[in-house]
Amino acid sequence: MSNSIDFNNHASLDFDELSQVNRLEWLSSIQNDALGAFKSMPLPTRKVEHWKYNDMSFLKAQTFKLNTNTYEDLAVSSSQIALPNSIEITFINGVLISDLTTRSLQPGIAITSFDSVSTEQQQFIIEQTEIDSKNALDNLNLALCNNGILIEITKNIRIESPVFIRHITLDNGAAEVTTNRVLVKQQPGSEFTLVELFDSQIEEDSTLTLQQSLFSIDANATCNHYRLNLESERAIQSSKVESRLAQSATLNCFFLGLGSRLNRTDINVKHQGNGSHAELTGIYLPANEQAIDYHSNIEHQVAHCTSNEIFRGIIADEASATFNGKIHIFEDAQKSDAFLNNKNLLLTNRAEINTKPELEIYADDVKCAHGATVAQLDEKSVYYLQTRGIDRQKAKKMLSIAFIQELLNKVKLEELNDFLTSLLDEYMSHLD
Amino acid sequence: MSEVIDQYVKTEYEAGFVTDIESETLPPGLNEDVIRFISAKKNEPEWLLEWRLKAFENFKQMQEPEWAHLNYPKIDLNEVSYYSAPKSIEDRPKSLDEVDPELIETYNKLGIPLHEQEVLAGVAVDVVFDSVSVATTFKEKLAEAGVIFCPISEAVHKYPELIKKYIGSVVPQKDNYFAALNSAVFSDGSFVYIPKGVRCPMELSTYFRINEAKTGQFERTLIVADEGSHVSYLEGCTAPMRDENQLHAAVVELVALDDAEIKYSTVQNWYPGDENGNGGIYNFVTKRGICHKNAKISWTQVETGSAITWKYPSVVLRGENSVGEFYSVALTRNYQQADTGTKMIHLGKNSKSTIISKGISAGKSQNAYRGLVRMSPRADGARNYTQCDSLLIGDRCGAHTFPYIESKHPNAIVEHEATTSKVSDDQLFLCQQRGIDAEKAVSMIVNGFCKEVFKELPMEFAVEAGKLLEVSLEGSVG
Amino acid sequence: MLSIKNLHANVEDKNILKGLNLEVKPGEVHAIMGPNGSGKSTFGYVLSGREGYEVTEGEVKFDGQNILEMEADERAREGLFLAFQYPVEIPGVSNMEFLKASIDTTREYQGKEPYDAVTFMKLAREKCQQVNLDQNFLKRGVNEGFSGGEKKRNEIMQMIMLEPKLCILDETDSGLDIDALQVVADGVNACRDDNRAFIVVTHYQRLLDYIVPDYVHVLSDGKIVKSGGKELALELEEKGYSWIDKL
Repeated sequence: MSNSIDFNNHASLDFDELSQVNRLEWLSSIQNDALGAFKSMPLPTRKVEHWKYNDMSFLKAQTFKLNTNTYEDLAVSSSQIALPNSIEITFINGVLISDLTTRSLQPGIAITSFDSVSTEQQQFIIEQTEIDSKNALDNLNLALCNNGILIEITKNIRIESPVFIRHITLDNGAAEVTTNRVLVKQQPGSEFTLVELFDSQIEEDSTLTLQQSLFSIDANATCNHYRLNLESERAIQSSKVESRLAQSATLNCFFLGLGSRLNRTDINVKHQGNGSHAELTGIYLPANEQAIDYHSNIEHQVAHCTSNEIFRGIIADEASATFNGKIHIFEDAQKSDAFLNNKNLLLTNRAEINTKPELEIYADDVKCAHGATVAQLDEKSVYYLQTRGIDRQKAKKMLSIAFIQELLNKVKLEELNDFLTSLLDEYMSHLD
Repeated sequence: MSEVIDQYVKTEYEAGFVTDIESETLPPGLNEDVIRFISAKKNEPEWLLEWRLKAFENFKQMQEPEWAHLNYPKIDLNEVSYYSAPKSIEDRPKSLDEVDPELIETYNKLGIPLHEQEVLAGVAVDVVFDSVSVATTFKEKLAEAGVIFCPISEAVHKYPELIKKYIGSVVPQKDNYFAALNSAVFSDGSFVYIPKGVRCPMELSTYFRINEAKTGQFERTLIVADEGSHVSYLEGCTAPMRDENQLHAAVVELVALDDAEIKYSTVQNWYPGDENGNGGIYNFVTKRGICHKNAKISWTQVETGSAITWKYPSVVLRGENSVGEFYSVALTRNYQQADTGTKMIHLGKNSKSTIISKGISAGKSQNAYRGLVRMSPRADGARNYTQCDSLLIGDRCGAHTFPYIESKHPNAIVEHEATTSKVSDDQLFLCQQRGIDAEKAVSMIVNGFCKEVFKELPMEFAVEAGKLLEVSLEGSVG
Repeated sequence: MLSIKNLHANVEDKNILKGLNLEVKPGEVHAIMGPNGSGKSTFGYVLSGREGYEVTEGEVKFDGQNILEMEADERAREGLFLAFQYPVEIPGVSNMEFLKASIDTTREYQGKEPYDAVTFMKLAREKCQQVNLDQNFLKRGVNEGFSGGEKKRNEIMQMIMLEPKLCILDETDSGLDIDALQVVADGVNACRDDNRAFIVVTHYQRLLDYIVPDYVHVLSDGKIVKSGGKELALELEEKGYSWIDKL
């Protein structure tokens, strides 16, 4: 069967059979390697440490079609959130549908589609691309990734309008794999904000989204990144977000995990220049039978870098959440300062949380700490609210919102903050 | 500070002398015949041989685990000898007087009280030399209280029903690669049974020593505390210095029935290898206890030895209100590698567990805490508190923390905290300004760092542990 | 007792002390005053032999011996005591244990008989009382969770126990209320005798109302720029440190 992937038999996959997929000439060599790597690797199963709690072998039960639709005439306007003044870019089922060539943008920002990048840009993209030795699905993303954009920010320029990327999936008559990549290249001293929204309007089919966003943040540059997953519960996602920070660069990122039947996001931060700082904030709220899995790995490769990571989750119904947060201090990365905190609330005895904060430390003059808790709402606080006339149910909701609300303060974009606040209210109102 | 530490003198491994005793040792190699030989040597009943052979069948299907943060060449199990006994033990001594005097001398050198001292200390000692239990003291006094404390090889004959019922009940044969190996080839170990409602009148103690070259030690300890009973058990380990690596794969099973309490303390000082990372014991140990209703199991360990440590003393909190504790000090130096921690499996309602782990890394060593706290869907009201602190001495070592927390109950509470620190210049200078030299200062600071764990050890052991740490540190820092 | 000639010292390659001279005789109390950044704390660290404080020029003789070649702990055992401005915490090491280690090693070095456990305990309790510290404090970790005032009183208590020849008090008044200051000063004054000398390093004149100095020196930019009697401190208080610059 052509133009589809049968995970039962993925070793026999061949590009020749994928004739209808438009391939990019300049990327094809590394894509062939990636396909080779994918074919030679098993799907992640529980036996692999990093997939201990979410097995991908269930993909074998289904065949996933490769998307060949170009959606040229399709205008998808509806979105859960509007960000006025933003630079909006839309992917549908992995395919870029926004026409980037006709945009007039503020000087200092350039957004180029993979099919029209210059030789120099191609070179940059290839440099940022690597075969993954651990994760078969990352390699599949690369092998199939013909859609992507490169965002470049010029030296010492601050881009006022956020870039707003909508990754939308639609019913397409069959289960589908969608893949794309977003690359960000920030020159020294630049600043910009990227909002990524994963939104699906699927009612019948299921999708497997393999997406990667890769950031290269040069000296003194600041990147603000928001990544919201509001996909439907038919969607499956396995994604990677990776940032490389040069000297005194700053990364502020925020993750919301609300959607997908299974959402696995790998977050890699690499401190490669002295004095860089990373701030990671995340909220996950799986309900029903959802599984949400965040794996972060912060590497302090050089000295004098700082990172601060806070993730909190509320797990309802029969849902499960996995959080794995690793801080890795390299040899000679002295004066590193890294802090990680993860807190969880389980709402039912069918819900499940697996958390694993990790420290791997090879330098002595460092300040590293992590903490993780799994707990219920503080009974004293519930009681206190009750004595003030608030019923128990309402009191619990208030406290749950408060548990999450604290992290929303990290969302500096006003429209986004408003949206998230009302989204959380709505989420809480559905809990029993 | 590093300058100061660089000046430390290297100390030799103090327990590293070889005992010149004629031994009967099986040639290296692992196969069914070896297992039959061991079983026959011990005159074991048929059912135990069958049990061993079944374990060997399982073992053959299993792979050596690779998930730990350890790096060592694969162990060739055919290079290991699976049985070594001091020859003079052929006719087992009836009392201490009959024990080879040189053996006694060995223990005296180690400071292990076999004779008068233990009367004062009130400690009953079982000594396992290479693979064979050579002496058990105070049998009569213990017998008065109804306490059974004897080599497991003896218990197989005297108390077959107890052994049959409990052996493998906590650590199943198939539990892991090394447990399966142990089940097939275990040679000896201690057996303890405390009857209902009895408070064991003295501390029980076993000293292990690997003497013979190229031998593995595969002892197996089983402690059963019947309802409402109480026992405190101490275990100490040493091995002579040898260039090649030696394998130690033990299994310890604890059963605490309703309302019983077991306190299990270990001071482990197996030979850690030399300063270039040559030699040393490979220590792959499976220790686990089951806690029934209102019962309590407490593991306390001070680990300074072994080239490789792979060990996770665990508690299955099966009963309501059961309590599990794990207090650990693990010190690594030179090229030592430790991957150690615990598992607390909460099944019962309102079960509680506490984990306090102190890791100290020096030299070029790697020291990892790995722990699992699991709250099952039935663990209503269960609680865990975990604190993992790492102390680094020098900038060429590693300190790692890998805690796994899995919860399936909304009313279970898990709290985990971990910190990393070093011996600060400020602390060292304050001590020096008060006339305390740097070496003593480091040792004081490290002892202070470990205090929460030391206070859990029985008195005599606490002193020994403190000294051990001091001796280990002397050589380590530099 | 202490003779400092043309002392120059660097911290992280930065020149902090730039030719300091000072003579201290037994029984004397010298106050060293100076604005922030004048090198006051560096002075105490250099004398007591802290690592990272590098003497580039000059000499320091303590009882006729060149102490610059000695380790910090040797200098301490010779009888040089530094009361810290910010005493560090050592978790898990009890005050008792710490004091015992310190006193045993110092007495041994000085050829004195070690205290037996009973005498030591009795003495420690007594001295605790003298500086108004609860006896439970002996069981607590060194400075662990102590208030600012308790830490300072602990320093003085250690000083009294160790019976040093020369005591350097580094900003001992900082962070103390009047009552605590009185306790600390009483402790110091009780130790004053003909054989012991003090160097009191301070920013403010206030402490010198309680510990009255024989001499006052003004430290500025790594050198002593003015010396005088106790009146100098009052003059300085009144006119401010900017007055020094105009000299």
